[in-house]
Amino acid sequence: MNSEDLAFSDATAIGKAIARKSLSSVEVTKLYLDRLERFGKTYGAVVTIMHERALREARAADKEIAAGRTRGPLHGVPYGVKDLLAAVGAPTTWGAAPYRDQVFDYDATVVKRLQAAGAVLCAKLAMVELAGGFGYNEADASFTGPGRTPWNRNYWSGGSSSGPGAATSAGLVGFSIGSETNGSIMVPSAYCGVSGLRPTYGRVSRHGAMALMWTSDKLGPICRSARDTDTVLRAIAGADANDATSRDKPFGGVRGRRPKLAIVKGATAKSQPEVVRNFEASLHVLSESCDLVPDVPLPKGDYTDVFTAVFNGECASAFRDLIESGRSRELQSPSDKLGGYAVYGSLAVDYVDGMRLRALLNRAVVRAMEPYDAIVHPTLSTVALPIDLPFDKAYPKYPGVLDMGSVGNLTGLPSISVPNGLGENHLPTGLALLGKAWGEATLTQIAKAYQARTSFHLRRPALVTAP
Amino acid sequence: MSTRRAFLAAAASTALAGAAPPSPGPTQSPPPPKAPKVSAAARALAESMRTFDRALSSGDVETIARNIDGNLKLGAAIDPKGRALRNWDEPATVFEATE
Repeated sequence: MNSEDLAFSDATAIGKAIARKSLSSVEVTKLYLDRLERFGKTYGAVVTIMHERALREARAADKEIAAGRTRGPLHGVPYGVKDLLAAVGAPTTWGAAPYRDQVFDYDATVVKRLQAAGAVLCAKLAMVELAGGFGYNEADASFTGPGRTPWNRNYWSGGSSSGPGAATSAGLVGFSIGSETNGSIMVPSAYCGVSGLRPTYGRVSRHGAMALMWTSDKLGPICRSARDTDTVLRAIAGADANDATSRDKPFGGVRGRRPKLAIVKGATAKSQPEVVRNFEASLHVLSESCDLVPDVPLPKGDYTDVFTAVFNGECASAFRDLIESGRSRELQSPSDKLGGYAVYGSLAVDYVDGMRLRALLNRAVVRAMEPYDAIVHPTLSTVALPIDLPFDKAYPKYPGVLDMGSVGNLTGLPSISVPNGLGENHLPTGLALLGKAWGEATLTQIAKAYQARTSFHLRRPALVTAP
Repeated sequence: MSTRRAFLAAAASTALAGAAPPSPGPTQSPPPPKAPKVSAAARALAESMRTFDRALSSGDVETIARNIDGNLKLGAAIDPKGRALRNWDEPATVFEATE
């Protein structure tokens, strides 16, 4: 296997090669450190490359494996984390200039769990400033510059986990950890053509992660295959005394029958033609392993506005100190410089009403999903947005009609996005499955069956170095 | 106060009295003439943000006011006329006493 093939292998394959000693952790770690140096800035994917810590952990992994002690499928596998997770040995910048020198002297629980699994931390990866909390409307919304999809660097990698999406797609890490409050794992996964899993709210401890919206923040894997998302999620999941919302829950999965999928009504309305075409082709593939039920309506509800009402209150509280300090003006995006003041001016009564409506919508969605194992839809209505246009000016003809991000995040339900083809400008499109609470194993099971019948997840972007 | 709108109107007059004076150094051009009308409450809240950053320009304050106004309208729109929420509908998170 040449170095390019190795770089683009999924974490499962890399872990197997390390376990059978045909590859050392140090060898693959050096490969990724070199690629992070060569391509990380080109794609706006990296904040800090952690040479010292990575090589120390890789040597330790090799030593343990040589001594016959293996920690599991991720032992020796290099990875990166979105730069909102605390990790010893690097600043934790939250993508934002006011925090660029912030240092924590402890590891986030997710980092500790991956260390216990033997994985090797290589890099803190770029992100949209404050995970997009202040309402950015353009790709250039981080002190490290815009994230760029490896499929065409004139287009955005998506956000707010822009670095994890781009670095995983470009083969700069074995896998990565992103976060999602509303779209931040699913969007970069779709725009970068990789497999991303947003877990159920409470599946993964957020201890050591920047808070944006306590009742919606989730951490999850962004990988080059659905099987990797399953492996990584199992390594980071579970209750943690430092996060009262975290839970130990079984993973489950569908046994002894075909999964039943609802095709949500309006799934492809006002979407780019290639998104529609790829989604229809995906349904054909899914029908080989699942039963599909067309035109299933979502319960009526103003999901987007209810989400926003709740978001405003929590975001303003989370960043009250920054807003009141007047340092928002140091942020990169023009919208973000002022956006904090707008959320600060929201009303408490709207927050509480939002949370009351959330409870009603949650019950309605759970009832609607009861007959199905998952809801299937295109991840997004378009391919990646161009770097040089405001978001609202990019594809005005194709806004879609469903906001599945707000539906899933308001209700805390898990979702997976996998690549399902190429669209306009040869950019990736995504297929998404929204599951029941704690039903991640069902989602990865369906996605693995899809990837066993397709090769979109194996396609590689042709990388360039910055001019 | 019979409605949220009435409350906001009253709040506007109060908040305006206590708001920080406008910044002496506006650096941006005034908003386009066709911009939607912003409520007095939103404008008052936006002006009050000069407490945190006295260098906010008139254009900045106008932008903040428009965004606050959007949020206020959104808050009023999520349950128009109180049709969805009844008195006893609890929020998604409920406070729990701990031992």
